[in-house]
Amino acid sequence: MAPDSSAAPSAAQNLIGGLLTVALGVFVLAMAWHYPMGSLLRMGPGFFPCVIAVLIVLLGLALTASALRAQWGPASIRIQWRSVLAVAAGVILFAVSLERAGLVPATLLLVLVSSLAEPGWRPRRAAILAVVVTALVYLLFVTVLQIPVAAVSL
Amino acid sequence: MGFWHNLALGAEVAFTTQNLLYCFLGVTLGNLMGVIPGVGAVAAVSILLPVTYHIPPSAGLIMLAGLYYGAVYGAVTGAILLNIPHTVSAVECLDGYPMARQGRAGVALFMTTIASLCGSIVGIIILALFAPPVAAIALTFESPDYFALVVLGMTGAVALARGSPIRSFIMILTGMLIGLVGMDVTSAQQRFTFGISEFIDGISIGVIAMGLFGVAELIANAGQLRVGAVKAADITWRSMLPTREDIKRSWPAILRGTGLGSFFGVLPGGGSVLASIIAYTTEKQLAAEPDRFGKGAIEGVVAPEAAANAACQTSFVPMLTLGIPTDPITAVMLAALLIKGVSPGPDFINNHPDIFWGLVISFVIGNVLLVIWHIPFIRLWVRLLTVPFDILLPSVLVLICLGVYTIHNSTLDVLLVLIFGCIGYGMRLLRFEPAPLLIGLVLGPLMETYLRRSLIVSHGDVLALAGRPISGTMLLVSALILIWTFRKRAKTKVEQPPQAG
Repeated sequence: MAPDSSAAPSAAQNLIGGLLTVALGVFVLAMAWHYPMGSLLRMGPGFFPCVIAVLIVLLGLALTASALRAQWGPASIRIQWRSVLAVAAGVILFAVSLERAGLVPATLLLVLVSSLAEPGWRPRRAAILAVVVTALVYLLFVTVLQIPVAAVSL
Repeated sequence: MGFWHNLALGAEVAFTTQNLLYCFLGVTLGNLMGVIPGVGAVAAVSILLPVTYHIPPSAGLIMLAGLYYGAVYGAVTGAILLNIPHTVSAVECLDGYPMARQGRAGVALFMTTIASLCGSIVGIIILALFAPPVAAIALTFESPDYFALVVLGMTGAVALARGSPIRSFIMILTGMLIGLVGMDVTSAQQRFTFGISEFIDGISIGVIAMGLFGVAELIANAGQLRVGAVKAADITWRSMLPTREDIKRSWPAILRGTGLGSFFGVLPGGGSVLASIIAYTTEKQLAAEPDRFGKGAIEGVVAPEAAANAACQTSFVPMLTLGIPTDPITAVMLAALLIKGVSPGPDFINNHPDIFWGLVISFVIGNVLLVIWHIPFIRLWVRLLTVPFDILLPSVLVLICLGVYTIHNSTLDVLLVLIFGCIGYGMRLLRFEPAPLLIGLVLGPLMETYLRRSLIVSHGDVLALAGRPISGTMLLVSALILIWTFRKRAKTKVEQPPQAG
């Protein structure tokens, strides 16, 4: 109903989605194969995952098949690489530095790097935001909630 | 134990300083996060999930519930003023934004507040009247009945989800798979842990929900151009006054929306999103001049809003009395209660009357608070909408990362939220809805446990699953729903060839 999700998924979306679903099912089946299956009376830990994985493979095949039968329109998949990369880099830097360098540097890094997601980056504005957010986070998480992380550790 | 006695008990619990504070906090923060583009109700509930670990269960539940309906109230502000389609308020954009462009934003905001209040109050009354009898019936349930109930919940989610049933089926099963990660409770076998010790307890639902809904939403919203129709100064008291015509058109729409919402909220897989969509379509079909819709018809704004709020309240009936969540938000709340050692189910109201009735009364308090936030203080929230996204994105991301970290004090969880964020963004690009995944995630482990338990009792006889009157009926209904869903799909495909593009 939202403006962007009213049209049916395109054939390309069905094809890629279907193939990925099949791949997921096969991967899970390969892993769950090694868990004991048990019997219907005493179901082993492998039984349930195998059933789900088989169902997933079948549904993935159905989705792929529907894409192959459909008419191919223009593909409508556009990846916003800029925001994916900025958010990913920011979060990874945060996760790596939080326990090594402390809350303050980790938050500063996360804000600075992730603000690159929006086009037209303004360094001064990002720096001010980083300082303000870090101050608020310090107040909330260190002073009030007292999470067990050093503010700065060198 | 009369009804009034219960309400008095509820009032006693809800009016303690602590619970009033958490109710206020919940609805205010929920409203705030509902207004902010790119956050929404699921993310709001998951971000504050860690906070509930430190407070008593009733206060925690009151706060999370407040976040839920607060976010539903708040989301409509963004829909009307900025045309931001949140998950809960996607249909309110269709007529709300045109109203704002015609200079009638004030009326739209005022009438949706009234519609929300009406929907909520009816929803609360239904919750208070129907939850105890439903629980009484559920007391007679045995393992096969629970298994059948979970199956019914999942088929309901497939049938009612947006988009193709194959896709929602795939999402539910994927959620069930993620739910399997960790140690199998029956055999102590580790499944899908990849040798990582943190995975033995499973992946926390907060991490998954915040990734799929929060991080994915932020990534998708960056770089999108937004043009606001209204400035805060434009919303005056006078501009909020509806005309006689508005009132005449609105009140039947509000009542219809409330009725539809109350019904669809109880259905498994229903919830507020579906209720609002159905209310909108109903209004459009009933209207004398359907052409007005999409151009600022007030019925198209108030009916979905009343429906969303009514559904939001009635979705607590199955969650609290059966332990079966009907949408992702109640799924997260259920997980929060389980962590606190309170397990919703048929015994819940008897064992914890204070929590249940306290929650009911807190709903009333919360809704009154929201009306106060939305009528005298609406300009505050309008101003918030003008905060640029390059400030919002990093701030919300910091909240998500620290929120996730505090669940287990683990940086692995922070990386996981990023991974689920990227998966969620990929799902968006390929048009898979994340909501059924969360339902599968919560229902999957329940289904496996009840299935294995039933089969042990019946000595491996699969047919015994359908042998009890309750379980048999529910499995039959599930089968009929599935057949109906797929046949309906097949028919519409033949009648309408897919459009190009």
